[in-house]
Amino acid sequence: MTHKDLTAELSQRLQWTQSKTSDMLDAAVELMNEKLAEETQISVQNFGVLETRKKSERISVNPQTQERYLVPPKIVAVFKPASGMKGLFRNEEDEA
Amino acid sequence: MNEKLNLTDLAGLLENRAGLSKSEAETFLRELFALISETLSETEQVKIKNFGTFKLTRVQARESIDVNTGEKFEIPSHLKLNFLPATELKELVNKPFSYFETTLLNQGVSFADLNLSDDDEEEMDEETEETLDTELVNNVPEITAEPLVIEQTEEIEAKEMFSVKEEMPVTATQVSHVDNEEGVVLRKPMYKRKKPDIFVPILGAVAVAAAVLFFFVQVGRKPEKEKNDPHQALTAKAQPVNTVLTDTKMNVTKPVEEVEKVVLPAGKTLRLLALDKFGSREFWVYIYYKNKDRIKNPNIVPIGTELVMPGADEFDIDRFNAEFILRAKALGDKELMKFK
Repeated sequence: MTHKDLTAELSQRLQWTQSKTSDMLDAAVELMNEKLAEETQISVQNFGVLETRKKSERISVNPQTQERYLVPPKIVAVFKPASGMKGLFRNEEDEA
Repeated sequence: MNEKLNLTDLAGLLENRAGLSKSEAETFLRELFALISETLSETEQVKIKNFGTFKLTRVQARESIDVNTGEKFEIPSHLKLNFLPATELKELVNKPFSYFETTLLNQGVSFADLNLSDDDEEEMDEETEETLDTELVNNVPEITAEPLVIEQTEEIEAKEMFSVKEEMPVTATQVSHVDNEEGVVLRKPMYKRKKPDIFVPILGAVAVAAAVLFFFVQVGRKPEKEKNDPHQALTAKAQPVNTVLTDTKMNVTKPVEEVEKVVLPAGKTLRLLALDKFGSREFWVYIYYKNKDRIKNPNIVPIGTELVMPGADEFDIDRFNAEFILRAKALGDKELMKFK
């Protein structure tokens, strides 16, 4: 499902116009991105938690040349699904 | 340490931003996340522009051992929800670290204290709070970088004082040298106001050491520098600033000509400065040439160092000219080799 499909489906469910939904989605995404950049945790019930984690620096080796590179530390956004979500997928699979 | 937001908080913030009622915003977010989780299936992923992609991946069945009973059992194949952040989000989140680059390591360089295991890179979903705790512990040693910065600033302060001293008219080299040391010692009480008392003896020692070191290294290096490097001579000729500054060591005090100057802010490197000023990181080497008398080692430039920016016409600086960039890179690599 692409961004477009998502707005279409969402606007149908909410009975909003597509453009309004699209604007809202953009605003929501922008807001969440900003909050994540501030290292805020965003938790959504029955969905999961979005948060940032710091990865420490590491040394990686190019297997072909054996050159060693120091890869700098970085902060990444991670998503941890809620436990309810996990159950959902397992069930889905059982049915299949 | 970190703030936590739930859906209601998020709706409240969204309300301010998008001009909706709070209940509307909340319904919207609820529907959004419900829709995402409903749509997700093994074949379908949900992609949100500028945010990322949610997708399900299959985890193969694998054997495991029950921690309590020691019995073997099989974890059945199941689906796992993954989130792949979009480039947009990745960059935004990583902004504080964005100036780091992957660097090639020389042979013989070893990091015994560096944890080489990548265990915190993988599998975050199964273990929950425990991982969080261990991560917190893991994070502690990384913070130790901060005291180092403080030490550096101490050194800078010492240097600043030294330069203050330099500007005063003194006649003989010997006299000035002694004078410098005394000046540093005499000014010690100044620190008392700024820093806690325990720092005073350390600061004093560091200040004296830095002043002496600074003086001798500069005097010792000067002839070698000019011999080795045509560019240094070139800069000196083109810009009287350099000569004036080396002259202060000979205690000839002249007013320094004003050119574009930058005081190195925290978190900036020569490369970043070059990127800001000239559009390419590789041109850092020209900033280095221009400030060779103030930069002992281009890899370690203390915060607060005053740097003279070279004019774009002085060197071959043009970020659209690939040849210039390559040349600057070659020069930069050559310079860096001296410090290895």
